Amino acid sequence: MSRLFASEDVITAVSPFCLDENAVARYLADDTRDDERQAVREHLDTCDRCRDLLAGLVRTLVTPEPDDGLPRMLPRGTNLSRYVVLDPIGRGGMGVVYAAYDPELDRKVALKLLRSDLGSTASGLGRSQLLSEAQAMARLSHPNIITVFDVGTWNDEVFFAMEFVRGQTLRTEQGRQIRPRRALDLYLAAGTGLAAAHQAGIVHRDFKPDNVLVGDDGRVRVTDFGLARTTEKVDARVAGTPAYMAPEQWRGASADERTDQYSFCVALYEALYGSRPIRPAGERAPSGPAGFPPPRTARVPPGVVRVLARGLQPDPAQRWPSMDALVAALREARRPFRSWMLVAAAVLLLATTGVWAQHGLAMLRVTRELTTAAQRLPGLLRAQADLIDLQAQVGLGAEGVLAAFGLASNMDAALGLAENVSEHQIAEAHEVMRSADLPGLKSRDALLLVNSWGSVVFNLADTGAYGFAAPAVPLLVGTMEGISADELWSQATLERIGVPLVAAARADDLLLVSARPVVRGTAVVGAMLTGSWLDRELLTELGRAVGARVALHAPDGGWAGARWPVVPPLGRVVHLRAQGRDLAVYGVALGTPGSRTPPGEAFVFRELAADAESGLASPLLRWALTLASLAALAWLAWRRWWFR
Amino acid sequence: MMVPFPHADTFWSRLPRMQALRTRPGIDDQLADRLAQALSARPGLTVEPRAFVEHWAGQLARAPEPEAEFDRIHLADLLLAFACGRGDPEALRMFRAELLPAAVSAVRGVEPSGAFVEEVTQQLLERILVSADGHPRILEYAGRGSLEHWLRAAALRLALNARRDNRRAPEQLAADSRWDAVAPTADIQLGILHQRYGPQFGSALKESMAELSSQDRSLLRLHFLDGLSLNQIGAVYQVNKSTISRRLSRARETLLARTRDRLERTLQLQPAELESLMRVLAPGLDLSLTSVLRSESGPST
Repeated sequence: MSRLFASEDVITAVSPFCLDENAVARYLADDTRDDERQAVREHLDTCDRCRDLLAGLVRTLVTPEPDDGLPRMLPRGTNLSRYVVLDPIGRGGMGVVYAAYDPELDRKVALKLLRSDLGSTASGLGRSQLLSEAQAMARLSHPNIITVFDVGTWNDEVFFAMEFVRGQTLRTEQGRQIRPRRALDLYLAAGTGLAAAHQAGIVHRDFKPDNVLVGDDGRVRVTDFGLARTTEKVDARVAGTPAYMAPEQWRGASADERTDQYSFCVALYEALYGSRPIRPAGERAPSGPAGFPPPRTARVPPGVVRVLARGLQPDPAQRWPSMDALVAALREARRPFRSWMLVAAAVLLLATTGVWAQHGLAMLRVTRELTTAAQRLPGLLRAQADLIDLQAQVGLGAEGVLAAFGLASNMDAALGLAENVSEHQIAEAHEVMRSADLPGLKSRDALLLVNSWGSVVFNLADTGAYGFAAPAVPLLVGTMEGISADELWSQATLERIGVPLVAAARADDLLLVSARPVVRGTAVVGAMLTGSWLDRELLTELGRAVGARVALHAPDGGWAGARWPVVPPLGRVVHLRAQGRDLAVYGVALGTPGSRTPPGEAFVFRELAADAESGLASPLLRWALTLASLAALAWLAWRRWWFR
Repeated sequence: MMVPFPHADTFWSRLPRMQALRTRPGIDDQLADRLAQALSARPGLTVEPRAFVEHWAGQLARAPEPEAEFDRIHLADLLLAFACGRGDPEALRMFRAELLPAAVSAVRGVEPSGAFVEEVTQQLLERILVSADGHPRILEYAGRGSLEHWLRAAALRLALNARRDNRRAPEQLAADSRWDAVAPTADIQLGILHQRYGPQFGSALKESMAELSSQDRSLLRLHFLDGLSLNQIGAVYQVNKSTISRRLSRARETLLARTRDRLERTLQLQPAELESLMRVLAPGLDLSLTSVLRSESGPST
């Protein structure tokens, strides 16, 4: 046997029994003998090449007849209108989809060949209607709608040539448990396509995940517009897909845009929750949408649930006014942040930044001044020594010496130099005090003297010094008794008697020895003003004192209705204590633990802190704002994650 | 009374194995008749009768059963082929007008693009009409069957070879980029079944395919892969359509049953589950079959 192209053939597949051109021609001739045929048949079953050859010949020689019973795919290479069929790529209730080649434009297309019984004249809504609707589709150009290039008839069957999309259906995509955000994005795109079709006056009638293609390029395209119409009256089983049909479709009413809304929402519901909204058994006349509230398993934004609930209303009139409105609402619900959230967060952050910036600036100032103060410290020390010397040289009187001592001791205490004052100086101070002719002095001068002495004792003395102080109590009381009530309650007096009181004795002693409520009250307030201690007993006494004061003055109307002079000092006590806490903070800020802050610096601190604190937001507000900002940021971040 | 056939000796001398036939009465007249008929069927050819008779006898001599071919030979076609081989202009004109379209249509069936058809046709013409050794391949035509069929077979083989050589990308759909809308199901449960067991179904189908008889496989391939209709398959096997229909149905059922058995073994499903699974998957059998066959036949199809 000679073979025409044997030399070019791939030799491995060509056995000696393979058919050459002459053998093929012989086999196809009318007068071939049965034994010859049989031999070829047997060979065909085992040789792919020869079978391909014969199949190819037969395809162009023999016109295919419709097969009964067995389904048939159009063979590769079939000329369908101007297209050439390549491979079948999908099959559904409506017909088969083929990949095909358009030789005129040299591009690949998808050919949908409708089942021959669809779109035929048997249906009231016949082929012409289907064709006109398809032509409307072909005019419609939208990124989320499959592009229909061409529509026509071939062998009494209607076909569509559409853009060829490499990808898969939304159904397949959903089968992989997609995240709600992804599902929403895909459906938003599909919904946009549907809305565009509606605007062109085209209703889909059979929206479902199988009719939406997700291309490998990520683009979503809705397909099969309007095809369901033709099938409605032909075959109930393929007229739309029952699961996605709106109630009015079940009733046989005509479908409109709102019908598509319903189908769209069923499909989206399914994508989000993994099952379609099912009406509980027994619920006969639906008043509201089925499947609500939806299962809580999926993370679906509440706004989306509301969109679905409205779209799934059994009564079309209660659904969204248009697909556009539905898509807009869905898009809004899909956004993780509303504008008010962002504005609120911005305001909060701004306020927080503001108070911290203010605080930081104050801190900076304090630090700077503290540095300056530290540089001034040696100068202060020198000034103190000079002052004492000066006073001694000038030869002051008893009160003057005592005042000088008091001043010096105050400074020493403030600068942490208490050890500079000797026992001798203390003794001297006591001596001055004892020898002073207190009754001879004017009450104010007496008080001044007592105050100076008290300062020395309070600031410098150890516990033993209280022994010196005890005898001074009657002295002090005597002085105070001689002062008028009004003067006792004045700010100056209160401050003056405070220090010696604390230094001299426990307040109880004083309270015992004086019968005048005003004196007792003054003593308490004065003691408190020094800021040294404040206990319950004293507070009680304070209350009594104030009460007594009122009782004392109310009858003669002298102080009645007047402001309470006690209150401002009390407030200052509290304020000073509060500052004391902040000082610790400042101390830390400077790198020195507050408790260890040298008294000298503490003194400076106290002044500075009082200054710095004025006009600042309270620490409570500052930290509250900070916490609120953090919470707001965390909440926004959570929403971002939740909507991902 | 006819003149004795002048080329009888030339004819018989080339057929030593057929001397018995020569004794048949009136055989030479028959030869003369046939030659005259062929020449009148293809008028206008400039052919030297003696040379053609030589060619005729030579082709018969090459046949496996010369006697059987003697009566069936397509002499007019052989004459045309011979004249074409000799470069007769009229023969070439006839060839182009009557036969070439058939060849082109065979090529177009393989791939319709204009460039491909043109290229293969050009190649075909060079191969069969032009030759460096003075022996154009069209002279290989033996007159067994029609020249048109011979030419179609030659063209088709060339086209198939050419396609194998430069198989172009867009025609081959990657298996994973299908729309896989195989069987749109209204029931979500079944949809899940399909999703989950689709791959197992595919492989079970593939394995079951391999177990079928070569005849069944051939039938399924012709139908589902090559997409031939029943009457076309009948033409391939030279049997009638109903026989093919019967065999094909049987092959399909056998395949489905074996696939079912295989799935039952591998998936360990309850009978009811298996039934519903098959109910979902069976409608897509044709597409699945097509894709299995296609992946099996690979790039050599």
